[in-house]
Amino acid sequence: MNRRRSRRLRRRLAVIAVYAPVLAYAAAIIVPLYYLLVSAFKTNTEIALDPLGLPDVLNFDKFAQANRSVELLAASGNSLFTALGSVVVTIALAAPAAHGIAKRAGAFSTFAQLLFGLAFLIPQFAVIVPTYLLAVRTGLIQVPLVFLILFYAAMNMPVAVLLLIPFFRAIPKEIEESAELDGAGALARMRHVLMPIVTPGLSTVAVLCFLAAWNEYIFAQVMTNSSSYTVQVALPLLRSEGAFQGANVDLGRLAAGVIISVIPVFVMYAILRRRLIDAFAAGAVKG
Amino acid sequence: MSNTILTRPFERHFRRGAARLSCAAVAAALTVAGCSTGGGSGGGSGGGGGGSDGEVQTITTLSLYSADSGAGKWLESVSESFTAATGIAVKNEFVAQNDLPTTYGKQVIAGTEPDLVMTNLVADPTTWLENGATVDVAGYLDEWGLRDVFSDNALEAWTNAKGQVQAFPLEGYNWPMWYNMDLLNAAGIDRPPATWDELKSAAVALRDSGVQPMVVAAADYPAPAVVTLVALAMMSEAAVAELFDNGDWAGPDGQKIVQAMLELKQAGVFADDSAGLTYPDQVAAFGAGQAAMLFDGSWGYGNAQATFPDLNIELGGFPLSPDCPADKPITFAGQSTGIWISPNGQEKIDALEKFITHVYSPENLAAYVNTGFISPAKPGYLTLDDTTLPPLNVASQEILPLQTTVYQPTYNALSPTVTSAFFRASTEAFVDGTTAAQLTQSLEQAWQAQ
Amino acid sequence: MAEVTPALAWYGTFMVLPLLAMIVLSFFTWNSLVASPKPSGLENYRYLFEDEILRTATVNTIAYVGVGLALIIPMAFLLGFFLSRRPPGHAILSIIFFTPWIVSASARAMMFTGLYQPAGAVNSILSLVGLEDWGRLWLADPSTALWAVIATEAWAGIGSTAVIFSAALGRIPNEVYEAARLDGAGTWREIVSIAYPMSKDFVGLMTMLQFLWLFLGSAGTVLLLTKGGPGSNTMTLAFYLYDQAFISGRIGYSQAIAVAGLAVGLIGMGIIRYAFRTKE
Repeated sequence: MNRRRSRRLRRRLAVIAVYAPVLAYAAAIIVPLYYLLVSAFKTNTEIALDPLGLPDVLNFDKFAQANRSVELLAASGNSLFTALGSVVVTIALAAPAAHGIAKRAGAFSTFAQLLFGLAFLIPQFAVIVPTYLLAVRTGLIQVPLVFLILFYAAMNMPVAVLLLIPFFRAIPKEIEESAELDGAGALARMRHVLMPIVTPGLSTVAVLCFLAAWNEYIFAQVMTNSSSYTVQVALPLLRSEGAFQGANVDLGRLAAGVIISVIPVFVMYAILRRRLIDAFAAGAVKG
Repeated sequence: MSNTILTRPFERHFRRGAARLSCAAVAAALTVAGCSTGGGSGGGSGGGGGGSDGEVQTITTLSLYSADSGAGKWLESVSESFTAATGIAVKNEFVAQNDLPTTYGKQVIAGTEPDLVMTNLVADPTTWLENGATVDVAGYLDEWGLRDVFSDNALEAWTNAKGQVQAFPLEGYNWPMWYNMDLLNAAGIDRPPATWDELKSAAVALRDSGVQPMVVAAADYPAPAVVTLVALAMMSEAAVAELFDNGDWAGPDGQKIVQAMLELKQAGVFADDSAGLTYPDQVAAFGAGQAAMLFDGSWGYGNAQATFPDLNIELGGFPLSPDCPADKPITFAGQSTGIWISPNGQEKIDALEKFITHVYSPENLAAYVNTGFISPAKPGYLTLDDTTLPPLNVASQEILPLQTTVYQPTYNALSPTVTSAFFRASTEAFVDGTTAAQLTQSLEQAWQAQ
Repeated sequence: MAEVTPALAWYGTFMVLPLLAMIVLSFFTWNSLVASPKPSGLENYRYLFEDEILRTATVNTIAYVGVGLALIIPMAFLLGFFLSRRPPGHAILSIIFFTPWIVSASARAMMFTGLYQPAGAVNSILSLVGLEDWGRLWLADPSTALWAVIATEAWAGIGSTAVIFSAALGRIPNEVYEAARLDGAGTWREIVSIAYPMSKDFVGLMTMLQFLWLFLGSAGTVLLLTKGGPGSNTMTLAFYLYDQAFISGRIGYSQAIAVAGLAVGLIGMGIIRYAFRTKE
């Protein structure tokens, strides 16, 4: 074999050696999701006999059953309420904070930035019990979704502030000062002048916070009760909500439930993919 | 920078923020110091439905059934007939039994607990009455003329040491061994094993014929039940009761039981995958003919009838060890589910009186029992139809009292903390590789958990 | 100053106060939500040292986090490097790799429940390729349960972390690699001598984040998949906290576990920070 051919062969082998694990992992992601998708249209027996085959009929029964047994759509509504609410509260508090830190390059702003940076690393979960007790003591346990809104806002606060700081820093001083000269009130100033410039940052934070709130499980599990389950808490109930004691898990119904719970997220992902990845990378890089 | 227009609204905000901080600090301290619920119903005035008697529109219940089960459907239909008769609505909530105590506990703390709870007197619920999470129904039994409905056994099981009745008895149970005679016969065994030697050789024969011997849902409540069953198959009830009282698993009696569990496991008596099975898994495995023996209670007869009616099942007791003082194989029996009244429910007691007397009317209670349960009532109160009852139910009530030694499982009397630790320790007995020392330590620690 | 305070105070209310309450509660015995807490001094802490399950949980947690990080970070870095060089298909691959991150822990656990079932996809695929003997009850078998749970975390962690690494590594200018290539450096040299040193800080940060997610996220994951079983094989510190508080009803003791867990977490983060320190 002459030199050129052996070099080509070696390169080809190198390419295969590199792409093989990459594609294997990609398959490891796609196959389970595909399995989920096709199982939602099959009965347990069909799933057992032909796990990866396409369903015979596109029968949406399982979806209806999933919704009926644990009221998945109502739970999705609860999740939506909580996620949107937490986004509003987070931005209402984080935007001024980021603005405040960005404006002054002094000891305080460095200190505050450091605080939020450290806060990033403090585990919320460790204090899940006192947080629950706080909800009880304030009476907010009776409106668990409201409490979750407030809690998620606090949980997302450090990330939101840290993410927004660079955007506020990027505002040229002239624009701020000119708005001030116009005599506009502080709030009006923020709204009309600064907001359009930081909107990309705000929408990034909004998306991140929405996702974090929508996907959050353990605190929602502790705080909510049957009339206020979020979709993540209702979903696992499809396992124990059996026809009879002794029945096996209805895998098709479970798969349908999972799909219902991730559809909104996937839609957001499709629309905002670039922004999501940039946001996450930016957040991590800045933090 | 500027300190006029911008900062003034925010200055106010800041002061509010500081005030909020100190308020919250006080709240945190109070939370810790005073979060008792002995008088929790005092905070319950916000929750619940009506509040004062008179215009009560809805009764809420929480039960361990599942909405699709026979019992769940019975509850819904009884509620419907009640609403039709009185105009009072009934809202039923169903939660898995394992999650029910926590769910109810959180509701009591929040003051939003349902008016009625239906669950078993084991683990957490055993402390409900003394903690004020439910109320004594002894008075109501008499006021409402219901005392004569129930058998003496049932009432005794639900009456505590102070003479208070914790709940209205709803379901009795028996808890035998289920033997799949077809599988046993196919392995060359013509009758259920009566001694441990027979049990062990049956295990070998069954495995040779391709089925698992005894499937146990060791990741669920059958684990401690089987440990107790083995204990009672070895020594007297008094000895086991004392062991469960003092938790001396390192002592001679305790060690006998530990050794016996491991011995049975090593002899292959328990199905290989038992360690990870939950209750539905074990029943499904037995129903599918994958295992020849099962330890399950009367709550399972209805499902068995619905899911695997063609299985040739003989009910019996657990085989005896050589030195066991008892002379017949072992089964359990007792009272399982009851209807408790919550502090919220007490505020609607008139409506509850109507509902409960409705539930316990002979027709409605018979409908419940006919789905396959053991009646809590005095003999003669109910007219039951043997033809609609699951055959296993009928058979069990005929056979078991005569052919087995019947015990009340002792761990029902344990405190909730010990119970849950005992549950976890029991599952280890079914995990491959557990040594006697490890199992002993786990069990001892369970009793030290206070 | 004033603009910042509401956000800080908000966060503080939900973080600092509960932290204090957690420490105070750990000195009480409080069994069952409906009972009253009773002061008990150092009893809970004394029991920490005797508790066999806690020891198992600690060992399991170290395995969980250690194996998880060992799987996720190196593979994510390599994958991220690969993506950052923009090879053919990198756009589609980035989309695919990021997908697990948007699937919630709850949905992911339910998906894997289906996969790990006795008649689920994993066992089916194994029989399809003739490896039927390898089929088992993944979540119920003591020898595989913990690894099966860790696998679900790795599944999600590798992809998302890889995409983030690729975004960060993408900032390394091409010229740097070309200069190295001219010097005769191969791909491996590019990774070890250029990509990694230039992003060491960032890798350290992601490792710390992933450490936290694994350490704390195990509570939700274990709760959804195995509840600590079989036996205590999948018991982790975070889940033990949840179990003692909300399942087994020993709330005071759960707070002592929380304090211990916090300490372990801080130590872990310290170790990571030390491992990734850059000599300045």
